Amino acid sequence: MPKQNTTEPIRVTTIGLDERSQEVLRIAFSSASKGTCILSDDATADVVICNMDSSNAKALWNKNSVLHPDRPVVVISVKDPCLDNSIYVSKPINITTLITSINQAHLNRGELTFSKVSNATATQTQQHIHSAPPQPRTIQDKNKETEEPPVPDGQWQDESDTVISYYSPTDYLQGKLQEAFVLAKSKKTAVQLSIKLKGGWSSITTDPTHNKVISEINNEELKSLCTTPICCIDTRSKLVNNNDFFEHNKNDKLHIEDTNEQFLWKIALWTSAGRLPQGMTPSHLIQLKHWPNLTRLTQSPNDIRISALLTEQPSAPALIAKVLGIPITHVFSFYAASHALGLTTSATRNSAQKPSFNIPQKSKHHSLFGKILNKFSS
Amino acid sequence: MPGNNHKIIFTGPVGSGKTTAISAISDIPVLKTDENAQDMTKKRKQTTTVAMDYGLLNLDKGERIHLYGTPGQERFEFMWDILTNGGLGLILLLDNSRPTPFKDMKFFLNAFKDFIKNNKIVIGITHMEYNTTPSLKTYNQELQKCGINAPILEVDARDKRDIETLIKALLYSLDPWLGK
Repeated sequence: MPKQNTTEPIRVTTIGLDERSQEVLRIAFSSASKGTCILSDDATADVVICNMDSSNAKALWNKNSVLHPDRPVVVISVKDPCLDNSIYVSKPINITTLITSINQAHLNRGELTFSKVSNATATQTQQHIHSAPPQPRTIQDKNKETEEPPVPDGQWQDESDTVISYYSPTDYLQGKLQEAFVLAKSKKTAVQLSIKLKGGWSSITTDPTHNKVISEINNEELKSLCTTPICCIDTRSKLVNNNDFFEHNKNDKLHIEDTNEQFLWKIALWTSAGRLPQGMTPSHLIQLKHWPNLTRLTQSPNDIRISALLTEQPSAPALIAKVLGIPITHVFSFYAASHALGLTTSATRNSAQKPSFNIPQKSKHHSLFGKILNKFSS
Repeated sequence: MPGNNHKIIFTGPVGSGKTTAISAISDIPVLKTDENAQDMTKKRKQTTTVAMDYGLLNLDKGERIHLYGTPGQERFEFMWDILTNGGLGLILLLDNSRPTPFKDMKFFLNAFKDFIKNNKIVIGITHMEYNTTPSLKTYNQELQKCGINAPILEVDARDKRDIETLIKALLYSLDPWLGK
């Protein structure tokens, strides 16, 4: 982290963050910044953090630009809004990165002259660098791949965590695919979504009659596409005859074949990458209608444990993470994939009410069960 | 105390893959008590289990989990109570290629209802690769009608990972604190 050239702490104010988020920031600053940053009021602040995902972000941004044209701004958002005179920090927020950016903005005050880049003209690479969510790590669980959502150091994971990264599936390939699935089902014929890649056009075809998806794009490329904003991807879709389609693909070994559920599950998992779909909150009560078919779906960390809890009783992602002692990003990814398959239901409760949750009992065979699990993972 | 009597019970109709599933994870060759199939069973397979199958999981410090497979034929129903005594959990395998798999499911849920009341059950659906209906969604709907909440997963009884996942689902249902 760059050192300040003054012993005075940098005074930071926020726009578009609620009180709880500010409280989290205050705690994070006191523990992680070693006194280099403190939250202050708007009038005396050296740097402002602007949450561009808040509902009135644009208005607040404009107001701030008028009132404090020379004050450096650190923009936090899921996607890079490419705003002038600002430093962008991608969500989910890594506190170390945020503090470094605040220091950088403060040191470079008056020199920030970033050009605005419009989405229409931005290249895919530029957009990718700026706005791509954290890339999932892949870990090997025996012979199966497990998608490990990123858990940056210093990321807040308790129930008070409101600096959560959100995304809308419709802003990504997932949205286009779900549209294609719906169209295929309603028209009762296969729908082909073609995507322009470096080597030309490649297709993903969903066939409702046989419950199959055939993809000419390999999983590595798909993973990358999943976190690229859809505005940066050229796509075309068309209806195709089921029989022609299967005749064409019969001898083609260069494709991946999944059921619709398998395909959508992995796409949602990769698109989420530890983020929460918009419309959900970490304290929103959810329940699983039934277990996902975990023997046939791409694994995600702690999927069996989360399923066991969420089929028993409604719970909130933040609470599940706390009870199981797992990163909340694992719960978000699992929720995103389950939700895409229509496996989740929302439970309502009074907003003032704390989530009621019957803490499950530890089995008297706890140690024995642990040994069985160890045997399976050895 | 190593000389325990912990066991996991595999049950289900004839041909659902109980013997195969136990063989997939057992540390010893499975002791089978097969006989040439008679009556209706012969239409589905040449031999069938008439007493029980037995396999074993060897754990740390000499602990063991016994794996018992019940005979699939209904005329051996009298043995099921004896086999489940002291069981940690029940794995019900259902063959999706049989003509009435829901009837099978309800029959076994009823036969083991006392055990299920006090323990947990997981359900594995076999032979789904060539018989895609009924779907898991329909199985789940039928199970919910029976007032039971349990994992239902598609499995290939020959695949060790599938059977291990079934058992993991059973264990985490019994004790969500595992892994913490």
